[in-house]
Amino acid sequence: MSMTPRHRFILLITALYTVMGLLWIFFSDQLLSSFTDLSSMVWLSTAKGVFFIVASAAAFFLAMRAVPSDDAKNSGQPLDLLYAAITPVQRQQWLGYLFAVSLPLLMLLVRSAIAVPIGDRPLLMLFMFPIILTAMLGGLGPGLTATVISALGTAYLVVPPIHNVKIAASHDLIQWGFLLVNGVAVSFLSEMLRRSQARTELLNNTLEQRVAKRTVELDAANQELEELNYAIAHNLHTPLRALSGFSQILEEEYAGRLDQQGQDYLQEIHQGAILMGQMIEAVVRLSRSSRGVLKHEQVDISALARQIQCFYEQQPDPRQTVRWQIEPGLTAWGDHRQLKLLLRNLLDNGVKFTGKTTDPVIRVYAEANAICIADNGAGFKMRHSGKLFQPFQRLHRQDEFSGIGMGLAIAQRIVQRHNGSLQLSAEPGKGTIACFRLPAAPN
Amino acid sequence: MQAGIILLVEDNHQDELLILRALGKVNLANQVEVVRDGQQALDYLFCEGEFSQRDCSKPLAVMLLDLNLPKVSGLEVLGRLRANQRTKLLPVVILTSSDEERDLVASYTGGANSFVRKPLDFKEFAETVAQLGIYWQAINKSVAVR
Repeated sequence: MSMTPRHRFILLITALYTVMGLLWIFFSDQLLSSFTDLSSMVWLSTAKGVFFIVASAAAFFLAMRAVPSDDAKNSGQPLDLLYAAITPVQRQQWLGYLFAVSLPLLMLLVRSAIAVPIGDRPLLMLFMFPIILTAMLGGLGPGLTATVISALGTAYLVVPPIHNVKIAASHDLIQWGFLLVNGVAVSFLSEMLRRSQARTELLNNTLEQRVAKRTVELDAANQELEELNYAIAHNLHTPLRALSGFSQILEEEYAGRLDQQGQDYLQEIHQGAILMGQMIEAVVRLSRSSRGVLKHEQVDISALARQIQCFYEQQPDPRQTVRWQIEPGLTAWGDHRQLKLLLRNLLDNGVKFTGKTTDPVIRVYAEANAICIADNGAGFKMRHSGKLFQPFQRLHRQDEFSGIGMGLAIAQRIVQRHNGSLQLSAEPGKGTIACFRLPAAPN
Repeated sequence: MQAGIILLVEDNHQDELLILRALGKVNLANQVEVVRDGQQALDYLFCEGEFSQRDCSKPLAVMLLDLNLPKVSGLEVLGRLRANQRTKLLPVVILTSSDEERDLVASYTGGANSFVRKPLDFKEFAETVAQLGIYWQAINKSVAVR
């Protein structure tokens, strides 16, 4: 079981408080022990207690302000939350410079307090701590200030000769030089870090806005493309009518003056025009399936399927003796007209591809939240299924099963517009199963 | 009784030929006047511009109007003639390739008497046009518009 952000945060803050408190007691008592007279020790002890109370009160204030609510969905890390809580304070430059001055001075104190156990070695590495902390909290200016104060302070107080900025030993000079260079580098790096952090924050804040804007733009562009699609298909009607019309007029009025081959060629023009007409109609249908506003309602899929069954049974086609098995009570949440079109396209395929099957059966049933349309027709090899949903893609030759390859493209678009999914599985000679799954109605 | 004129407003030359042929098959070709854009249609109706000299005494039986026309659109032509006292009762048949719902609604709202989509198939097209011609020119009775 994973912890909620609230729990993680409380745990982290408690741990931090414990560690900081223990460190404070340890170091401050060490510092206190360097004083020998009792009265100043008592006075200092009281001061240190007061400081501790004030500091922890401030820390409590910040920490409690940042506690995420119980139901917070925010998956942010506890440290981010704390950072966010301190941010308004941290933005103030004077606080950064206060740190820049006070932290190195504090470290000088600590250094002199632990001078006894570590001896006379300068241990300049210690001073990286206040520099890094200041640079992280305050950025470039405070970081450099802390570096300069640390460098001067150590040169004057820590590195022999004491009480003199001169540095005698060359190995001390090298250490001191490293401190200076590292301090400057850390200050620059944290400034960069802070800036990129601010930029990220800004980007994050505007992200949603920009996504929304882009979505609107994309929708508009899409809409425009669909309109264009439709307009092109539509405007092709007129020249196509001329093509088929005049070739038919030729056939009617001038057939006697053409030999057999001439008449065959004329027939080919006519056939081409018919196919082109079907394709244009298909493109219009496709673009219509992706235009217009969807009106969602509970749709009786079983009733729609039975309507389509009736349509087929009224067709004067003696060859078709399809047995329909439509499960009653199937419903889906979507646009009535579009779902009818979807069902129509899938059932058309069922009827078409069982055209050469003896005892054709088409089943409409529910399975695992999906509605499936299964037939026992020609099927296809699954390895050919990649382009199935693209317009004008077919898996059968015209002389096997006629068609132009738009049915599944339209079905797919309708399902996608409903945020659903459409899956096909098939086996050659056994049949095809098409299943679509649409999101349930909102409560 | 004098048979009225069929005014065909059609900018596409090939559609014009196909329509004239279909009307010719039912012996209506000599009753047809053709104009090729919206402005010409208005000039013809109001006997203005290039048609200021035309014989304006012959009655009009029907206007076959395409929607997508150069210069002045079909819907605008419809609006202008419905606003005119003399032509407001002229029967207007919208004959177009469009099957857009909004065109259909706009046409009837604008006062069209009929909306016919040009069938893509030529045979159907020829039949439709012939039926239109016969109905509006011979069967239908309308107020004479000259």
